Amino acid sequence: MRVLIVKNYDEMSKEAAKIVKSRLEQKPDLVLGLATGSTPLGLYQELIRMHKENSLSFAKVRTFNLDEYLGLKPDNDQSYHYFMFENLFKHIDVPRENIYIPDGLANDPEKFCQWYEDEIEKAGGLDLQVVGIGRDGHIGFNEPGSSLASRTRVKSLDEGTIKDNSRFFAKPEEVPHFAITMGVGTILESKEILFLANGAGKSEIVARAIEGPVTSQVTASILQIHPKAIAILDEAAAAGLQRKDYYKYAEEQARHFEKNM
Amino acid sequence: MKVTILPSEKTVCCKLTEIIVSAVREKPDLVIGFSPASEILPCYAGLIECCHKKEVSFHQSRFFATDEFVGLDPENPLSNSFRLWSHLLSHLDIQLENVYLLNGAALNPTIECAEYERKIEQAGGVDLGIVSLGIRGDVGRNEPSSSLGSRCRVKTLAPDEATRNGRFLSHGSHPKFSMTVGVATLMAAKSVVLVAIGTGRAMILSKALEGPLTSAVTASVFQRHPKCTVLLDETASTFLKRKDYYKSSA
Repeated sequence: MRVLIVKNYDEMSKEAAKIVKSRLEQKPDLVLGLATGSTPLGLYQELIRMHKENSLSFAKVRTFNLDEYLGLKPDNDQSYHYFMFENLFKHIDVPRENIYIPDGLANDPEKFCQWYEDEIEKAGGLDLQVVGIGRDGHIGFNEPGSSLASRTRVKSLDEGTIKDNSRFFAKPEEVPHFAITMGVGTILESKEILFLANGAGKSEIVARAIEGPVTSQVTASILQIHPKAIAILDEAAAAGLQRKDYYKYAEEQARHFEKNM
Repeated sequence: MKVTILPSEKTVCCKLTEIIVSAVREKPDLVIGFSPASEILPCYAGLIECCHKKEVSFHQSRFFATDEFVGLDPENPLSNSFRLWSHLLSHLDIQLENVYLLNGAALNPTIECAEYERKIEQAGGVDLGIVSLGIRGDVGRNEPSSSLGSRCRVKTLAPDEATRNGRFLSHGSHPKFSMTVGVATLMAAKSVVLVAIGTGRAMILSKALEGPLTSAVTASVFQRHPKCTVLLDETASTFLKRKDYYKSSA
């Protein structure tokens, strides 16, 4: 894994945006996998800025989101639909029909999951997938214990996750207990993976994911077997890494190498 | 994984020779992937002897090396290519066109690496890969944290002196980059022999064989290989928990 350690959240977001931009320039019809949560928010803000100021276009891009809560309407402000439209889609020129997010209201979720997989395949597979990491090491909603070969499916949320979420909902019965999520195997098939993490709260799990055993107890650890995964971490999230100096050295050398080629 | 513990370094070399010779006899156009690591070079003497005695012919065998330093011309005595020629290739009845080595002086190392993967593929893949366990569990030049799905590419070498190659000490400067086949390239070999010699390898070998699958110890990936033989001497076996089992199943 290429590990890029930067000063802070702002730089993490900018470096990530640079990578998305360069892939987009190489392939305007990029198939882009997206994530929700506070981690990629800065990346999305930077992409919006690039779109507005430098006319970076998403007109041919297709996007696939990692996950969505089951039972939430797209206009529910806790849904990932809402998050994505508010924080990215409505500010850029990606056509509505090119946006794919798991349907939280699917009548037949199982059938929907298969359809979602088929659509990814029809698009030619994911070119670049953005992922964050949960405190328990999950990517997407692939909680600890998820099969490392799993595909898009309905997943029960961890008790901790449900409890954390309850503060966002007026009534306890509104809190989702299930989500539709791309599987670990689905994510792993993306040609390239951009793994983002920031903050001291993530440092321990980041170290386990990048340098610990490959295990379904930390689903992000599977990124170790991906041929082209890039981790962009701020200093705080990188604090627990044992080979931090090597990663920094390798980045520096790689820059010289590219310059001299 | 077949773990073979042998009494000494010399017997490890003999066993390695035996494995290679019998594979070449069975398939004369064998595609051999081989390591230029210093620990393993003396082992190649056995192959030369067998070839001289006409016990085996490498006339149709094809050779691919695992790695080379960026910036070193094949004529440079410090290069892996030079060492492989002087320790092995020039003494065998090989055909020049069957030897494929990464060119350290390639103008574009990135392209050289991609081409090398293509050549391996065109040869039908590696039949027998000979790899040496590095001091940090690395195989080829796949430093810890290398992707377990990696293919041949340019890799930055760790800057710490302890892990550096002694032969560059007198040379003044150590190369900063290598070209190396990836972990996935090694895994794609139909059969693999992993060699570990000496007490210096004992701890890391136990991690590789009996520890978790992790890119922190790239050799751990061979736990998933369908046909991997590990050859080690007694001193390298010190920390293996299941040493008795390996010995009894030999």
